[in-house]
Amino acid sequence: MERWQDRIHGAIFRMVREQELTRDLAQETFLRAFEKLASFNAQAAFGTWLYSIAVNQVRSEMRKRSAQKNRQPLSLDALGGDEEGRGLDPADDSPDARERLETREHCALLLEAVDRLAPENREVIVLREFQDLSYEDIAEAVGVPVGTVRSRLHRARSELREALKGQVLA
Amino acid sequence: MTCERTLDRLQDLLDGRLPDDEAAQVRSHVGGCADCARELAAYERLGALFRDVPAAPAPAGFRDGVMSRLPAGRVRAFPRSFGWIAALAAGVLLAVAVSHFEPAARTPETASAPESKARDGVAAEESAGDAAAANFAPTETPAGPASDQESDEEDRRAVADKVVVGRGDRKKAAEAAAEKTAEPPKARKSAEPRIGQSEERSEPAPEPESLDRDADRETPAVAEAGATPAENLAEEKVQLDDAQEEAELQESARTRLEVAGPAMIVVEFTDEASARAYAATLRERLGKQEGAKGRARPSADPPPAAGPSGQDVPPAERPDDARQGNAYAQVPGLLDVVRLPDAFGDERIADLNASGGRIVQDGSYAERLRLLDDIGGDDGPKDGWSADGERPEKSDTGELPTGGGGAPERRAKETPGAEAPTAGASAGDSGAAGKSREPAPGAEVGVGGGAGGAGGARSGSKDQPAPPAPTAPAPSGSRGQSLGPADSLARRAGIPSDGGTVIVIVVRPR
Repeated sequence: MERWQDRIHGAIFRMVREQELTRDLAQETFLRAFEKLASFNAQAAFGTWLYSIAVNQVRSEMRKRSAQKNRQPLSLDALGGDEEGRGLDPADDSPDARERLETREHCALLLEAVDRLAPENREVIVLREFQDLSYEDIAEAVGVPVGTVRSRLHRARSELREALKGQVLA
Repeated sequence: MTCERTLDRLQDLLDGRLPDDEAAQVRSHVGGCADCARELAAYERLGALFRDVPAAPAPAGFRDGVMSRLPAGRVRAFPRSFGWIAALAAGVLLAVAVSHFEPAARTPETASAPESKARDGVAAEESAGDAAAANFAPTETPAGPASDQESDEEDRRAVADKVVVGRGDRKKAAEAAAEKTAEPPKARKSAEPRIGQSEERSEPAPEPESLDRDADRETPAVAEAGATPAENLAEEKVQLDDAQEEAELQESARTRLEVAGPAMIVVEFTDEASARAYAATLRERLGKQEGAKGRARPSADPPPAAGPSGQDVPPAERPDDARQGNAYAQVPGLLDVVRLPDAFGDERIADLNASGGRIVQDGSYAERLRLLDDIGGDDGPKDGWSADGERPEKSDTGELPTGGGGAPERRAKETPGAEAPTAGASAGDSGAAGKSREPAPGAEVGVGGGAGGAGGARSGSKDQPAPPAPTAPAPSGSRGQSLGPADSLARRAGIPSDGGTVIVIVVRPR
């Protein structure tokens, strides 16, 4: 669990962008996994199975949220990871610090763009780009054919490319 | 190649999913087309940007948070297609998968071309695994109505303390687990490099699906719960999803652990007194049933083994413990083994819950369960089950063949001066039903005696010192056969192997 928790947490966080919610959904994912351990098909990859549970948790939550329409705007805090903002000292004007700040801003822009993707496209882009899953594993995790994964990935990247055009991308 | 066609394949190129010839065509076009080259660079930059995003690790205390939400003594709902061995297999898989199935860290090093090539190199191997996993379906109801999800959640909580363990094809589940564990989990990872990484790659995995961008041919949104091994599907076409299954449990308002054929259930207690009380309760109830058998371990410490002169032999000098496998010596904390003639039903669960014990079946106990498993299968030709899991034909006497693990009858024959074990020590004895058997006069039964362990040597009369028990091979009739863990453990604990459910009681102080 120790090794998986960061990945599952990270994947969920990239989909929902809220720390508290991410923690809850990630924990629920593992609870579900424990609960359903026996239903795990030994012929499938365990990680894929775990991701599928996480995806379903997110989907369920998003359905609730779409009804409530209470999503919050993204902030730099939602970048995750460096919660204490190390490397973002405003007084640090070194080239390295500026570069890190720029990278962080670019990442924020990227995540904002990811957040604007359709949920089904966001799922596959997160699993592909943040979790490094193969098309096949993504297909299993989200329950769609591989061809659908490909088309969603293409669509997501095209949209991201357009969204970031002129800002981050040429 | 046209620009349109090239643009449509840029991402495939970066993902390493184009055949070599087509990839070459795309590269060739990009080399001479500024617009397409710009697009390719943009996608590469996009990929790099993704890698710049910091990870979002779980916060401190995350694991504790999960564990704290697992009720103590909780037993898990199992579909009928899986028995305890499936849980064991899954647990083992958990450990193995955790060790190996590790998405590459999003670093340039791990995303390097050599690794990509390495991944590609195993693509062919993993294709079989992928094909085998093609029928995998998420175990949840991914896209059902929210109300369904909520209902499912409510059901889950409602049945948190309920148990269903199904019939398990232990051999096949174990085989599946073995196959799975033998498969390099890493090979299941992406067989293609990430976008924006090196374009040098080879043997991209073929794309089995249509590449039509608009062909969003989604499978039904609501996946069936828990795809089961193919072997179980014939029987298991229950096709209940988890919610249905749990709702069924809730409706039935009862819990049960249903097993068919020899099965083993490991229950754990944190204190010996409770464990003994539970064992006593169990036997008291079993005393009313025909065929109830079992023998409690006399003390928490390993029982002394009788030497040739009837004196205790230090554990290190007990030949049987090491070679033959005294169950109590091999399984830490093992207090008692009881074979039920039937399933571990509601009443048993109630007893267990009242006694403060818990069924041990989750991944954290994989090693312990595997140890139990090893008892039955490590030495090969010694017991009643063949290596391929087929139960052997009974002998003319109706007895399953017993092997080198310690058929007391055989031991008696092979050990001059050692008599066949008395009723109290005989593994094959089916008398004393429902009672905790006491050592027969003149024979040190000891824990782990009888069929499996040192009991064979100890069963000799004190008046007739028995030489060290031979470590003779199994009789020819049982060569090449290996007993299943439940039966093997039962035998080694001195309990007849005649089906039912073996309850293994272990004490694990926290």
